[in-house]
Amino acid sequence: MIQSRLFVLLAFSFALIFESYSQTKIKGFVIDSAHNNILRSVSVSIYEKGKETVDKVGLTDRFGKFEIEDLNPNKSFVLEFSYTGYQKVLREFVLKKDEQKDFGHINMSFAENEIEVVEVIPPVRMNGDTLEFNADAFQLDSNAVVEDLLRRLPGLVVWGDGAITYNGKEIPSVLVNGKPFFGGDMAVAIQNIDKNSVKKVQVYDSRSKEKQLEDPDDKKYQMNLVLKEGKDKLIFGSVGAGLGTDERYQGHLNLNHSSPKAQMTLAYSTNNVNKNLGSVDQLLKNTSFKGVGINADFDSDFLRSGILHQHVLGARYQYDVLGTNEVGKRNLFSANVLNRWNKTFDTNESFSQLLNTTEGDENTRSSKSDSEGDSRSQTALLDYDNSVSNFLGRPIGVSSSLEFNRFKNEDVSQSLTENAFLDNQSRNDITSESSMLENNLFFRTNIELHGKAGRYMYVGGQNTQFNRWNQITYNLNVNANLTDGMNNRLRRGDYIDELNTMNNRFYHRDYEEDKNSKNLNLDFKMRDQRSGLSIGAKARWSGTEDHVTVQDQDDGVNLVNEGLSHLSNYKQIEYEPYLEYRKQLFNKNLYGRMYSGLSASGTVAGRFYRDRNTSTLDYRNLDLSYNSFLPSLNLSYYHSKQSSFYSNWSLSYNYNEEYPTLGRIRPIYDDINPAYRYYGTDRLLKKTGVHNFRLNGSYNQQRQYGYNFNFSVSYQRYLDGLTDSIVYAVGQQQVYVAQIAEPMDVFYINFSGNKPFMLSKTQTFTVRFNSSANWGNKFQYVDDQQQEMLNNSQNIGLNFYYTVLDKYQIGWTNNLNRYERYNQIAGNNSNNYTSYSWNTGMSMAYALTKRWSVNTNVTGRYNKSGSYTDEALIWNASTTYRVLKGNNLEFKFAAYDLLRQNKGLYFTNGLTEFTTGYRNILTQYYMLSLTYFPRKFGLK
Amino acid sequence: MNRIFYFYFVLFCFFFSHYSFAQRLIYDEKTPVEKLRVVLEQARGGTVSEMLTDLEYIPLQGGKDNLIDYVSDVQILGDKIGVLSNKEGHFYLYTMDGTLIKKIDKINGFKSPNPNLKQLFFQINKIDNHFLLQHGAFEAKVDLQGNIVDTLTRKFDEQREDGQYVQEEIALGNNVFRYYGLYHNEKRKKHDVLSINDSVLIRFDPIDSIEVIYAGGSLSKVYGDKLFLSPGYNTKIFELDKSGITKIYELVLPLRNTFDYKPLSKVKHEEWTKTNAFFGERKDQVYGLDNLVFYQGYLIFRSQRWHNPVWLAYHLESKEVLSLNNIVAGESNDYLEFYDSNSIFAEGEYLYSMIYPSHIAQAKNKSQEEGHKMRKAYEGLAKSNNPILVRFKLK
Repeated sequence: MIQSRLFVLLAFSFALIFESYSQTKIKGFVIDSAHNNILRSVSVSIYEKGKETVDKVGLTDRFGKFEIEDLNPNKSFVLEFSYTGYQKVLREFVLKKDEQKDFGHINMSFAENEIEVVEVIPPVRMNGDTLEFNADAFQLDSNAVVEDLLRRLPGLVVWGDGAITYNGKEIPSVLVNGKPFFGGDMAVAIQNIDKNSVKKVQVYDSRSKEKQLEDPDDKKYQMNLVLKEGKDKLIFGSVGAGLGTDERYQGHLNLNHSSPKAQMTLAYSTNNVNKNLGSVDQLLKNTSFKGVGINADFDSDFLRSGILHQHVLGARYQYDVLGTNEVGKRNLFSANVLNRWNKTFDTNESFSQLLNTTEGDENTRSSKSDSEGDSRSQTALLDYDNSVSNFLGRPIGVSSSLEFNRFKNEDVSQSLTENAFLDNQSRNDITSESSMLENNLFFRTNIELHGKAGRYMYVGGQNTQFNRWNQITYNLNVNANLTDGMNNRLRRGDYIDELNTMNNRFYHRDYEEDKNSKNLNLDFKMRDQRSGLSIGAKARWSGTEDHVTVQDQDDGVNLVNEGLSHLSNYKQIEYEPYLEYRKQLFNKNLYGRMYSGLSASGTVAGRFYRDRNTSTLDYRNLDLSYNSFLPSLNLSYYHSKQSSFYSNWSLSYNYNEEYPTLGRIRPIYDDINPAYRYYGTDRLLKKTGVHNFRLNGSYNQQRQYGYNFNFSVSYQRYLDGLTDSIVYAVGQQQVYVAQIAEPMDVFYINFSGNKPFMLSKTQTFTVRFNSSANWGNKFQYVDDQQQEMLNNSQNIGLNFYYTVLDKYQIGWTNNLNRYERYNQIAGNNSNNYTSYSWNTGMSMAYALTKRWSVNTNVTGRYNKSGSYTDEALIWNASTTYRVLKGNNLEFKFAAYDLLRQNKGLYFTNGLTEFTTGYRNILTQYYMLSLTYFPRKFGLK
Repeated sequence: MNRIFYFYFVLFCFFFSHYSFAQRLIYDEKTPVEKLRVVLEQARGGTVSEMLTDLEYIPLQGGKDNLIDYVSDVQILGDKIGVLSNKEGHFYLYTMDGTLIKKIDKINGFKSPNPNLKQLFFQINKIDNHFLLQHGAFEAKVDLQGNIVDTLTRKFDEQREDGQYVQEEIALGNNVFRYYGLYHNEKRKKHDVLSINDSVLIRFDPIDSIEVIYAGGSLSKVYGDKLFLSPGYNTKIFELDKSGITKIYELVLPLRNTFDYKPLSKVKHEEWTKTNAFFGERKDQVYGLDNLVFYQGYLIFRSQRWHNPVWLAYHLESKEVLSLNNIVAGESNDYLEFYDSNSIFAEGEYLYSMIYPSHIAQAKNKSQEEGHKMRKAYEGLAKSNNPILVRFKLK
């Protein structure tokens, strides 16, 4: 049913986009006939006669040839050739429909008197190795942004999934005046910056000159937008509010100010439509001036359980200490503050059936709960990033951040659980109120002191002024945090045991916890570049003080609960010295053909681990001590064939050991729920050894619109692993920790790839594919009976994006998942099961006019587990219309879940039981909203 | 007083700004100088079919064990081609059609005095109808069938008591030219640049010393009774014969292409980042000349610009200047380049250069773009996966 509806939608979408294109073309050669020289990289511009802004542009190639397509027929054009040091040449022409005109040889003469020449920047030119587009030469709508400009520049393509390519190769990031623009997300820069404030768009190969000469085709592009003088002082943003049915609302504000050295942002968002905002960047990306794409990640989440009411207030400041606007040189300071207030309302009803039930037995549990949570968090973050300074005659790189976080949460909930098991006929009615306050301080820094020869440089040989010590590099990583928390809870329970009324209890329990902890992680490494030998050490220290007071109210009298109240002091220390050796085993470089290399690295490390808990609860006084020897090996192989592909492969092995925690061994038992108890173990557990093998590979085709894929396989073997042993005792489900002598294995494989297609000058199509599969075994015990559960799952994702320039965008995403679990040991196989899920989504955006656009998205999901199935089709649609001269005011009408199919049904397959249930979720609503985009580029 | 001081100060500045364009050399001031005024963009070019004749591509036979990573030196002797590979310094001997005759990848009993040097040989010369393969003072004489007929270790005369290193040494009849380079260090007591036998022809003033070794300068091979030298950060070429310096050819360029070496003296040796930035900011400027070749009346040389050299050919009689960079491949040679920027040399009636398989791929793409059918012989040039020797004549 879902499939057929989607197919109709897809067919309808493609039917909309039929367009025809003119096949006109002009070509020719540019020469300096006086000296019989062809001229390379000459700017070729085509203007409509009488107009000053350019229609099409190009450059002559290394043979002096130019070729420009898709010109409108029956229009008078002026063809202009410009080249530094030469006199400009003009030609007029008119083309008929589908006409192809050859201009033959165009002669340019050398400008003898250079002093008199006033340089006029052509629409496109090569400035050294940098391709520069002169933004003013391109006439666009007065409200155009940089993205609109990029769509018109020859060789540049803006794809449906948001990627930008030049000559088929991706440009991963966009800088503005040489630095990140308001967080660095590409969309914030290209969808906000006014096209008319841009002086030039620069595209350049970021590789070293040597690499460029040896392999001219393997380009790694970067883009930089150079703003006009004065236009780098700017303000932009978005202010919006919306009201909807069922008392739904939303509102947001972001105001951004930039000056040559500083960037400031103020942001606010509020809604009760499950739009969860995690950062200022997320808001900026999704409320850009031209953000009408299909990849929004700040939209109502119809899969989220409960209803979220949220307020977020944030601000950011970035200061460029260097201020030279040079690409690749960073000396940036930034400060961020973010306040979030979340109010959530959750209801849940579930019904669980034991999987090992004998036919005819009634072994079920039902549960109902309501909760209301109120949390507030405040975060302040300071960042400093320096890649230009020197210290003691060496280049130094520093990246530091200091973060303060305050989190407050209040929660009120009520739950009723009814057990209808053979040995357990009981009900537990619990009301709970909790409040929590936590303050955190984080400090992170990474300092890299380079060798004296330069940043990331090494000078070899005997006759060098840099000796071994001068070229040793040092790296220090510090990670520290302080936490201070208060946690108060009040729980009232009414427990009724139908089989044994002696167990009936009424609880009124009050918890108070005061907890503070300190953590310090250090990692120091010295690397001798000459020998490839590194020595280093990781050290970790943490301490936690926990003061818990629990009181039970009995007949109005408060009594301290001695089993739950405690004063504890937990300390953990870990020291891990290591020695690492890296060597190039093989290196082959055939100039102009290929390069390949094989390198190996090995590490030996020792870890000394101690933890000690001192507590007023005797059984929690525990000292644990473990020592580990941790070897690792890695082989890396690189192979590239010029103009064809490059490929990386690595094979690695490492051994790690995991240690049992205090909570796993000696848990604190709270008898407020007598039907369940986690016992831990009465024995000291051994450490768990983990052998980890991994193979990674990637292949990238080096040509226009080439494909690439990534591949990884991993295998982990757990020795002495921990698992649960579940016992259904009379009146209680009991869980113990068991240590398994037999190895447990996990095997994982992943494959992903992507291929773009340029269907025509105005149509793009991208396919992204990813798949993964894993297999593993896990031992467990149910009522002292051992089970070996074999798990396997497979996942396939397939996404398609289609774009027609300025008009139409469509994306179709698919995700198919299968999971299977069965008991390999003969006997009970009641908890064997297989489940399937398929999620598919289609998004479309269509610009009816320059001011009016329509967006729609459909998400279908289908789940099957055993005999249970669930399917839903969520269809949302919206239309926006912009008014005012600068298109600054936007009206939007949106309809969500038009088919009313979001019901909140879920099911989960646990180790011993199968659960079905309903949660409250967001359902159909309609909303009308208004957004204003304040924009001014070139403030006084 | 102040006015006088100001006058001399201006004069001083003018004097030094005038002379600061090139490293100063001290030689016989009476030597005749011929100035070549060249606007690089205007140096004559054309298409391959207009400018070259007898163009021939000779793929060097390869195979799994006989791949040459990069050609570090090459010599033509009779109908044989001798090539040195770069990384290992192995010697490959080919016939004129590119068939591999022999490969020399070791010499029994020879071990480099410097354990850091992994190359077997660094240079090929010719002597008595034999190839002379050199690794410092060690020489191996190889006949035209690739047999080692003799080995010897010369008396190593590269470092003298005065601290001067002999960068290059070449004999012209009974006369020996020695080129010492322009690099000054504390141990160097004398500042000779070029000598003939025991007579110093060119010296330099250590005050002009530059630590950054990007323009090493070079001596050409001997052409008949003459040879050429281009030393350091200069655009001068010295013509030499048995009597010494006979003439100086000085390349004079427009201001935008003229290199001012003075600020370079402030950049320290091996400050790679600063050095790269320095040259990167002056990528249009010619900072030195090298790869001197004398061919059919043309003095051919490479004008060194940052990663973008220009090959010029100056006809000593007609005074015409050609730019090999401005000669473009076309349909006549299936858009296939006829040289790589690294090396051009002359032997007899021909000029020779090397191209690499990537050039074949580029030409193939261009032919496809132009709807032109590339000839099968050219398509097959990359099959051996080895460098391709190019032989041609200037029209």
